[in-house]
Amino acid sequence: MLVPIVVVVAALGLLGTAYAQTETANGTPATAPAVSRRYVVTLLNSFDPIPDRLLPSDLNGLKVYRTQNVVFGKTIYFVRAGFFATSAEANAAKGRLGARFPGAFVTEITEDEYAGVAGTNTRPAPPAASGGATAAGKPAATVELFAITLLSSANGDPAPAGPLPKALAKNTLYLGDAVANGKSRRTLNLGFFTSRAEADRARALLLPAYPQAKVRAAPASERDVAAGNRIEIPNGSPPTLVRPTRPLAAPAIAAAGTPAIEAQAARLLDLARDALTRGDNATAVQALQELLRLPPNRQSQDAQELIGLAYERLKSTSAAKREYRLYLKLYPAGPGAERVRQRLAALDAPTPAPALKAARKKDINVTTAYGSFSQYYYRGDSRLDTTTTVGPTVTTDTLSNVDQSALITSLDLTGRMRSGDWDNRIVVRDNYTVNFLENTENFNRLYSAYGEVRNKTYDYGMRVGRQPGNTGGVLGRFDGITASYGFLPKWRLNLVAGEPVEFNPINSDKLFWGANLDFGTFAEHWNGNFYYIYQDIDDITDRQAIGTELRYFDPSLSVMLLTDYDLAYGELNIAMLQGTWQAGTGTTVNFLGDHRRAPVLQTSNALINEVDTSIKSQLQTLSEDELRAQALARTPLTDLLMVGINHNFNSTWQLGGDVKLYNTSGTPANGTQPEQIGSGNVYVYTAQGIATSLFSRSDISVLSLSYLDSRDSEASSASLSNRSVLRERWTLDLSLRYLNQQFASGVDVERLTPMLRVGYRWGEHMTLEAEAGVENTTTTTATETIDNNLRFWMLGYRWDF
Amino acid sequence: MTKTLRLLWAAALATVALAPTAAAQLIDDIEARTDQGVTEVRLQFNMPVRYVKHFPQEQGELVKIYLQALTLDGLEEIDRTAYKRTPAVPQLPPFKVLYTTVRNCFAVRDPVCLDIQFSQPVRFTIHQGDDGRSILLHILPDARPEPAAAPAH
Repeated sequence: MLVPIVVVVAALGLLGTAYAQTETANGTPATAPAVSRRYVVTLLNSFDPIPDRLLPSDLNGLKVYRTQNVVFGKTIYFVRAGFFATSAEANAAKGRLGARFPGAFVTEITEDEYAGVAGTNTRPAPPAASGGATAAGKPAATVELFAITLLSSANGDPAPAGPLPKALAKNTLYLGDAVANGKSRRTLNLGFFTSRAEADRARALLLPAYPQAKVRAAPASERDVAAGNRIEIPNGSPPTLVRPTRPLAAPAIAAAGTPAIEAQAARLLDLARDALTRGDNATAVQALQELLRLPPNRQSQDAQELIGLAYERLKSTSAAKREYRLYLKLYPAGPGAERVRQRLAALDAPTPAPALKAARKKDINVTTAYGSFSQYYYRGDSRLDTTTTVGPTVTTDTLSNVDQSALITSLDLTGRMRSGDWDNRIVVRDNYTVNFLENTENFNRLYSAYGEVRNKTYDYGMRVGRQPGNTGGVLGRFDGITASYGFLPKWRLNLVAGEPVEFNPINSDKLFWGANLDFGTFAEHWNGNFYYIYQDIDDITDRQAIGTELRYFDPSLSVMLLTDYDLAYGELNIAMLQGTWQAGTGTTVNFLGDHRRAPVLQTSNALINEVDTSIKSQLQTLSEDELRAQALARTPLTDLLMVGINHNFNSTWQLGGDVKLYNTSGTPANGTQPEQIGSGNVYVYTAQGIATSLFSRSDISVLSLSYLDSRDSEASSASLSNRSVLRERWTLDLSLRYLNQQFASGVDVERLTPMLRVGYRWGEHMTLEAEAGVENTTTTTATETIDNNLRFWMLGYRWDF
Repeated sequence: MTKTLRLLWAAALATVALAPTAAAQLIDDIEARTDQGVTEVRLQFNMPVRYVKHFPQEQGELVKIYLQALTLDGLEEIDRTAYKRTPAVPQLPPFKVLYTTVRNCFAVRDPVCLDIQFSQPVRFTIHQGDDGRSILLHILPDARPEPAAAPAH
């Protein structure tokens, strides 16, 4: 107990020092880069492409668009509305949209996203459509413009209400197109303003004549539209639509095809744009290739640009460059050419650091303490009725007992200090059990008490104190030290040394040290660990092993190989291969093959079932070789093979099953230990159904059926459980288990176990819980019938902080 | 009573003993981070774990995850049932993690069943972490848009 406390106190000092140093170095927030910031309201996000029907089409004044980003390694699809110069404006818009889009949140977007979207139509709409909130346009504007939609009409061009105020005489009044609720509308607009504030001031002047006027962002391409659809209002005369003196779109090569070709091209372009905005870039490429195979038409130029974009998004850089270069050859002038040159230059430029591509990261400087404190009282009573029948004589015997009466108090405390490059932790986990039964003792279990320091910049760390093992060949919890250093980007060296912590200790001293190497990830999917470990016990070798964990991971398949080989014994301790394949069709297949010595081979296994648990003492009568032979003889081998499959039939039901085969070897008579018979092959077949929302909005029910077949017995079991959340604060768990087992020896066992557990969340931090259950077991032999009745309950609380 | 029967009785007692006599913490920590509305929750275990399956597949308020602990030396001492502190995450409904290790949770050696209970429905994906000792949940609020109001004119 003393050791972990000392090391944790030392670690606390170390943490404090490290924290103070980093506070000084990083205490001031990083200076924001001098770039303009843009905000949007993210209306929707999804793991899957978002369909058209979920896109709002009536957010006048806002540009609604779809985009996608890779977040935490996953592609996430978004629908956003923007743009806003400040987060306050965006938050105000989010407030207005909150009732309709309850998951909406404000996002600061990157320059890339803005440049890519500001002038790009993100909804399937006719390429020429412009002037509305979802205006079509192609240029990737880098200067933000605003316009005011004064009127809109589904029945022809809306007419101006009269001359403009003098202050706005220099602005342009023009007609445009918009799409609202899937329907095209003609709009009357006034442009352009270089800031939203300027547009808002203009709107205030226009409100008397146009009470529905709305300010919106306008793509740069809308200037061209405005030039072609400008309206002049001479004094005393009706408004006149002013047509340009030259065609707006004058592509270098593109020419109008036949009406049929134009219609087909327009359809394909719409299809491609829709696919692009949906994130389905492969479909976009397919549609655009088909379009580009048509005779030259009015869509050819856009298609040539978009196919480069689609390839770019598919990470086919060479193909994207090829298409962009072709575009510049065919259409060397105009805003599209400038945009394509920029894209091509970006592809040729070195990849910027991730920090430059993403929105600015906030410097973290946080100290937190969290954890839980709980107290639970456990009680168990049993009654045993034995009926013995010998010929005509029947005798009954009853035995009652209190099996358990204990109060367990648990503390789980973590203090975490993050500052700059430092991420430090202090962890304490402890249980104290008060036993109320006679002849039982109270006891404490300190599971963890360690301090940890990690530096992200130099990639090193250290943990000192009582800590969990189970890595690098360390078998379990220990008091000691772990140090790690990432000496290369994909290589990390770990050193570990300490004393194993065993709560049922033997009368011998164990010490270990080891080194292990983490590697990867290589080839996108592979990583793992090699280790060496040496452990002695009373100055002789207890365990000397090498091992490896080799892991393969991709989003649908994970495989892990674990081996441990004891050099001192020349024996394979563990060989395990496990994997899970998540098929995209809602099917999961998993497998496990596990061959191991259980427990892991150590010289201390020679003490199994020995009263004298001192290796030093045993060495008084046995040689080291004899002790090692005894350890080997008392360590059985176990094998487990398992394969399972599960399928989600719909959002309510999952059905699955698995087959298991396991075998535990026997051990020969050795010293004071008698021969242990092995289990033989044991086969277990399980079918399981899981359902959700069967009885309430929030519940999960599990039904399992199993059949076990072995040399010694056959068993059938069924279990049904349900967990329900009621009125958000109540949790109800019901379970019922039934088992029938028939032993080859003639003994039959039948068991029924109903249980109920209730939880209530009191406030945000407190949970009250109670559990009660009964287990009735009837055991029948040729001469006896034994009824066991066990009643147990639990009551307690848990405080999370 | 025969020795065999007494052993059976002792075994039966063991299966229903509620209190953990010496309970190790299966979950080392639960960390969460949020970026662009997506929350990644990492359930970090104190030992290698094998992801087996989960349900519902991608949406719900209660999520059940089946795992198997792959310790080097078996789960000698482990909590049978326990909660774990869960961090508060902006944009994500409060949630808590309950884990169970009793045999009826799943018929494998060293089974681990996780029940994750959100206070509101969420959408999620669940995968094994690439260190073999963690489970990753990527979570989005399940906030479907309300029908549009009357179109603006």
